Amino acid sequence: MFYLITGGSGSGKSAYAEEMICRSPFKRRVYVAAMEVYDEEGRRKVRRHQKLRQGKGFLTLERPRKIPGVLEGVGEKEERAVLLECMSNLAANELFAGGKMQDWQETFARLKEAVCYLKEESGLLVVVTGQVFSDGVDYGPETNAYIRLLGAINCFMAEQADGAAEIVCGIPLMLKKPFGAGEK
Amino acid sequence: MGKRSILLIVGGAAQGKRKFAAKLWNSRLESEEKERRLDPEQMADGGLCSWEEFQQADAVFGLQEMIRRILEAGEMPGEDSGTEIARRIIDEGKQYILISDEVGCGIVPMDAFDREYREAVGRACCCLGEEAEEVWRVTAGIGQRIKP
Repeated sequence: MFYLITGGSGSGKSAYAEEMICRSPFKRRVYVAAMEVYDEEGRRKVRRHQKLRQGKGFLTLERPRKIPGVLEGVGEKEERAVLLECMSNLAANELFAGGKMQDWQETFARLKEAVCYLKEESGLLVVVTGQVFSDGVDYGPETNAYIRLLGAINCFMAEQADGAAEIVCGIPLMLKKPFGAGEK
Repeated sequence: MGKRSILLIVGGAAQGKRKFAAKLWNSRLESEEKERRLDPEQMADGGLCSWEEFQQADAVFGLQEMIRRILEAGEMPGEDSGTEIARRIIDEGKQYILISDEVGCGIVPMDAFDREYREAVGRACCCLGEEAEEVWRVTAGIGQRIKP
């Protein structure tokens, strides 16, 4: 099963996604962290998320890019529940790898491959992504390429997913059914 | 009297949230409750009013601006100021209707304060959303009830 969770900054999407994993019957909980930490703000964010996950038995794998292979040696595929957090970071890390903008199509292909790998290699996959599309600002070609990339991979994931939801004020709004936890 | 029930209304800027809120509220009043009718122009403005006025009003809008002003004043240190502000509204405020812009759906800003502000508004709305009796999201003047 594959579920997509989207939402804005501070929407409660991470907490919701973790709850989905924890409510599932899968024993092996894996957290794939795509954020790269550069500074105190990043460390603070990581601490907040670690606190959220505390005591829930997640194995944390830090992987800012090159997702395929990341689950090797982590239990059996059938017992894995994998949370990827989050696609907005992974997309940025892949697109701007090495400090310069990579080829858009190749990056898009890499992201699709990452999603397919995780889906193929787990009993349950939950991907958290971001809604960065609604501020109407022209950020210039690089950021605009990023916005198009995240939009495209979100569309791809929603197509592949068994269910998708946008989280608003901590409340799931169903984009695609069926959906497990918190169904309304 | 029991705890007040909160109606939380969110949505993008300029979506007609105030008008929608007033319409919703007024449609539920009995005809003899005229004095409780809400005028969208008379709601307390989180961008202008004092914190006391904000806390005492029946209906407030611009929660996001109130949060911005509190953060700018440096009055709410700590890692989760948004939740902290929401808790004070829930525990000490009198509002029945709280209206906030959704501000988290754009590119993550370059400026650290802007990031903190967006995060705080989001956390505050999560906390208020959990407490609220009803949550509505307004787009183009149309409200979608998202809770319950």
